[in-house]
Amino acid sequence: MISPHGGQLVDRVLKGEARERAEERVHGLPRLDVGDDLAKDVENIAKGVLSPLEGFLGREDYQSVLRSMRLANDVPWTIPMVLDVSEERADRFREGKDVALFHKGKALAIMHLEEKYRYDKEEYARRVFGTTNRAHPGVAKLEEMGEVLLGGKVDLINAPQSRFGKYKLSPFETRVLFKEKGWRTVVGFQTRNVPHLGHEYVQKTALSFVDGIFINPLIGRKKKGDFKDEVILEAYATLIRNYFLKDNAVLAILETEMRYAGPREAIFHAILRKNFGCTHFIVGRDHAGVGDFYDPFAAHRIFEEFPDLGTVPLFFRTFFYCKRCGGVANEKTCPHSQESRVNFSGTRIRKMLSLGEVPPAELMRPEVAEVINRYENPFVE
Amino acid sequence: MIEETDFESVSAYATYLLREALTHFELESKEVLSEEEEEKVKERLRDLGYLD
Repeated sequence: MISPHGGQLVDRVLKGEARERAEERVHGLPRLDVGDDLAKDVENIAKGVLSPLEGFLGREDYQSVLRSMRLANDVPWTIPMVLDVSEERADRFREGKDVALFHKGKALAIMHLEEKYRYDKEEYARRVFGTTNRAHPGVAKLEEMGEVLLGGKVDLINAPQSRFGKYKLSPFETRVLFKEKGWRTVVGFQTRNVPHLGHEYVQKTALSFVDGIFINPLIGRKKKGDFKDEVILEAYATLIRNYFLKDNAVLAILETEMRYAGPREAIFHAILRKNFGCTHFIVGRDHAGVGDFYDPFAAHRIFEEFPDLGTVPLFFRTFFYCKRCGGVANEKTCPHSQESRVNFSGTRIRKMLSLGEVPPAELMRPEVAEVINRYENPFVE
Repeated sequence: MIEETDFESVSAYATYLLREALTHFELESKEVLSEEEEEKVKERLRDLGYLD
């Protein structure tokens, strides 16, 4: 099995007596209530999804990630995992002391606060998103964040509730699953969309070279107009049931927000899938992009800077349905002209589905379209 | 372009070799769960329908 990022899978989930003691202790600690996104970050840290992180970044790691795309110990890491608070709230917490993190009124975790520090939002935006334009959803969110960051390890007491528990596996679990299935090589597929035939083509092309595919939709805060989480999951479950071999494909979710950080987030996504046990990772066109903020292939080129990533990226360029080939093809495999090609336009498919129409079979499996059309509104409002 | 390859530069070739070597090296990582813990995980995977 492939080694986790940084060498060891982090496990900071409190169990048994330690958990019971923590449940009692939290009531005597200064309290910080966190929202859904941060609660998921805490859970992902504790369960090893974000290995080797054991908590939220301290100043040295934060600056190193921002400027070098690596932790201070040189391990690749591209997205700052930070816990922000207002200045007023930060004054209630003392470095070297514990903080009780609560989510929706329930004890979430204990944070061992190591340091508090201010940060430059403009630099964060420029380096992570490549822009300071507020039209970028990551920049807009950053503007609303508190002025102070808290760094320190976390110990999980109660995981946040999930609406999709039956699809939720930790890296410890996926690694056992892949071993039981006899998979030595696994390709990870990140998605935040319902599958069309182009996606299936990419997945099956990659699958031809490895033992199994781990289809891992990202569930969490998305932008208006994206497909709802339950729609994505049901569409994928239908696709796999009808068009994949049960022994070669696993569907499980990753609960975290989209950052829309383009190339940096492509590396981040690859690292998370490596922790789940993926030896390979599919990187698509404009991976984790939004609008036209990124060059569509910047997310491919960035991998050249990380030869020590420890997982193999598989790059896919543009693909389309070719009427003359009679199937899905790409620029390398199809000699025919533009007139023969039907692009997998997300906008076109979206428009048809929003009108309750079934996209043609060369664009989307009818079973998948039917599932989506069962929803009155399949999109995030 | 390096002749008779798809690599555009020596550094692209070196990156490829390093990445391949690291991946194969890392495949040798040890297991971290005890037998009992692993059994519990398998039980959950069976309950969820991931394993028969």
